Amino acid sequence: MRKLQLLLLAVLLLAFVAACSRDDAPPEVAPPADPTPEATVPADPDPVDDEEDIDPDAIDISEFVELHMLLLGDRPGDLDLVLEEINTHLRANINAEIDISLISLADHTTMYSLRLASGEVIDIIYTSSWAHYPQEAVRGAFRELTRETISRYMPLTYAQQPWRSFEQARIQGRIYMVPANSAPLQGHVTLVREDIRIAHDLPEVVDFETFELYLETIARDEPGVFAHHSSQNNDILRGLIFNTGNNIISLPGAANFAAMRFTYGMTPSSADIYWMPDMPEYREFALLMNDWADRGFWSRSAPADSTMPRDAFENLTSGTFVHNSGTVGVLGNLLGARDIDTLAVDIFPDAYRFFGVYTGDGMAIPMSSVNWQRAMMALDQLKFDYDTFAAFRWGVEGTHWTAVGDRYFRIDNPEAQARYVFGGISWGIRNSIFERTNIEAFRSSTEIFATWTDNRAVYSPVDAFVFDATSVQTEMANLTNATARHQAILDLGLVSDVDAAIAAFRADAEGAGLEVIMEELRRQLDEYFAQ
Amino acid sequence: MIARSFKTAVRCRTLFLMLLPAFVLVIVFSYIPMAGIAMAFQQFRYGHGFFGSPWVGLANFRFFFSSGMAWRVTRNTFLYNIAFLILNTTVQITVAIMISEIGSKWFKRVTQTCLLLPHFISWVVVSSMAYGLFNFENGLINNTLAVFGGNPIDVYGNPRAWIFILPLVNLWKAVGFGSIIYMAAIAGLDAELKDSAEVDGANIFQRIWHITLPGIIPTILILTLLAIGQIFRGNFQLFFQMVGDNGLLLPTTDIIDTYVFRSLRFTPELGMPAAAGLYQSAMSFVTIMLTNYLVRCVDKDYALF
Repeated sequence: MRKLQLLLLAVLLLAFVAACSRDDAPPEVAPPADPTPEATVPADPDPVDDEEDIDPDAIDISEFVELHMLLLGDRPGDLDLVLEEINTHLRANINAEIDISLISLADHTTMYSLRLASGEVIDIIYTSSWAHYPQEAVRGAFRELTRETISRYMPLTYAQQPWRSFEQARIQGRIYMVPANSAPLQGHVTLVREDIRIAHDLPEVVDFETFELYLETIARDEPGVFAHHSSQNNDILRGLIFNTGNNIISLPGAANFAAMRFTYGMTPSSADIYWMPDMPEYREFALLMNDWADRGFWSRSAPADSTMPRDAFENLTSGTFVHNSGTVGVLGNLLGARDIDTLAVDIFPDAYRFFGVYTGDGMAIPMSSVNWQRAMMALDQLKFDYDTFAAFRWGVEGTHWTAVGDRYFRIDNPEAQARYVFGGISWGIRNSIFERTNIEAFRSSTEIFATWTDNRAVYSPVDAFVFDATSVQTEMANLTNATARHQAILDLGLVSDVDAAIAAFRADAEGAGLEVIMEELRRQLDEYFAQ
Repeated sequence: MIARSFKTAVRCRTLFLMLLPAFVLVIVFSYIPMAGIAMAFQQFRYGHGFFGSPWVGLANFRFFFSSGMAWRVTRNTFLYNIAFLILNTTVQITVAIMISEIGSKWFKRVTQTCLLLPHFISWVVVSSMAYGLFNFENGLINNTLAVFGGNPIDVYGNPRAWIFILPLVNLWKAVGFGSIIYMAAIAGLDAELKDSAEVDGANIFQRIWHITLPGIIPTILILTLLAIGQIFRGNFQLFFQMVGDNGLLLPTTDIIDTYVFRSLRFTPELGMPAAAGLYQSAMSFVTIMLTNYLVRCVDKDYALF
């Protein structure tokens, strides 16, 4: 009899387990079903509720809460130490603490959506125009933020950050992100090896011609070093030579296929938009890349090479590194410490540089957040309470950094600093009001940046535009695939006949529904320009 | 009736308990997620959830069939899997027989270990090893060719080469692990049969042909049937790690799984990958039913069900 009971118990247990997993397994049943955020505060311990009153003093923070933050980046060695510092401030100011988990930058394309869909409680998550914001927002992953909730729970931010920045974050009319408070200037700087240049008695790299000569010399005379290390694709040189070199803007949200020429003072219209490979500039670029590939500027096996360009430059197997001025500066300093002479150069000194978007960095509150009000308050503190901001951004003062005046910092202990690299995981709260730069920053790279700000910094006419591909998903999926098949090898110059390859690309893109996509894109742009 | 069932249950309680973990696993990981098929027909939105998301009919399937690539990738998936199946099964059986016929225990163990090792290397590492072999400028093959004055070969630019490379790499990784099952089957055969055959003057090939092989036919059939059930599911790791996004190789190496991944890794729609998965499942289901039916026609005992 007892054995029978045991068996029954086992069966019951089984049924129970099955039933439980039915509850937990599909993420879709977990979070609130109603899209309006105010109406769905699940089991909110906070008695002061939404419409009741808008007096910020009335926010009840008597109950201590722990908030979970998900960011992109690698775990810094001193994260616990820094968190202790941040939490000291947060406990005092809003009776809350945060913990941080991370998705490596190498994994975020696949992991980000999974973590959001898994149903785990996340209160604050990094997001941006390049890190899944439009896609996840459309899918309903984030809580909508309104002027009321922002002004109530994020008073510091609301008072000091231009509302224009929030406007830029609108997706289908709604805001789901707290973007950065400033739009940084975009533009690529090229880092070259001065030791190689001087050894071969080459002229200084100041423009495209001297750059090409430098690359050619490395390809010919420096065994073991590639002129430019290309990994899997050639997006970097396309951005530099095709885009910057011709003042061509790639369209936000459609950057890998649609582009427009920029001229100063232009009145933009949707007729200026082209499918990138259709532009004569692109053909010219592809021909040049074919020539460079034939001359051995990079590996013929580049599509299969998974070494990152930055690593290749750092281990001295690449002659150039192209990136934003900050990253170039970090790498230049790093090699300088190893007595390798590098120089940041601008090979297109006459090209326009564009201000980026506010939404290039930001934070969102996922739907799975239970304490979303406190999450917003924590975000407010992290962004605009100087002490909390400084701890999160640079680490513990005195350990990781030392303040120099109001705008700079100094690194006294590089080993400690390496355990909490400046800005390594904290771009989501970037705040230009408090921002500091390293006083020992790589000179040539900051100088180039300064010449842009002084001379050629312009606003892109499409900076706040985001292509919403919801209505052309099928065509976009097919075009993405056609692009994956053709773009990288064209950019890398590995096709035998450029014109034939572009024609084949066009045929595949047309088959994918390119016309439908371009029509939708132009329609949205007409609306955007009309505003 | 119920009383009798109970009695049986009580009598076989140990067996039932042993079955329990597998049963739970199948329910949790195979049956419950099946409800997710519904997603293939929805435009899924977190806010509306699984039950509230709008139904969109067959729209999610459109991308795959309107791409003009459906035939190519389905053909590639099917042909590669057939090649893997034939090559792996033949070599695994041969290796299993050879190893079990070897007398020296020491030699047997060393060989088996060496063959098994690749199974434990991850595909990411295998892909870097392949890059070390094949890359144009510094690869082992081209460096060796250069020593002997040969012209370098561009493996990563030659789609035909991969028709052979992929099955060989897959075989290298699978042969050790796969042959274990056949070795177990061979070990289960009646040793007396072989001994008496030997006494009767049968040589080693006759013993293999008339005793070992017929003895393991049920195992071969079951494993083959199981593999056929997966015939429209490509080995994503193998193809994606070895080939990646190399557009030059895709005409011969794009399979359903990599194709779908490449198309949809940036799309916010969860329904579209769900639809592609359902397509593969449906194709596999039809194939397995058909094959099982054919096997039943030949010999009922060999069929899976």
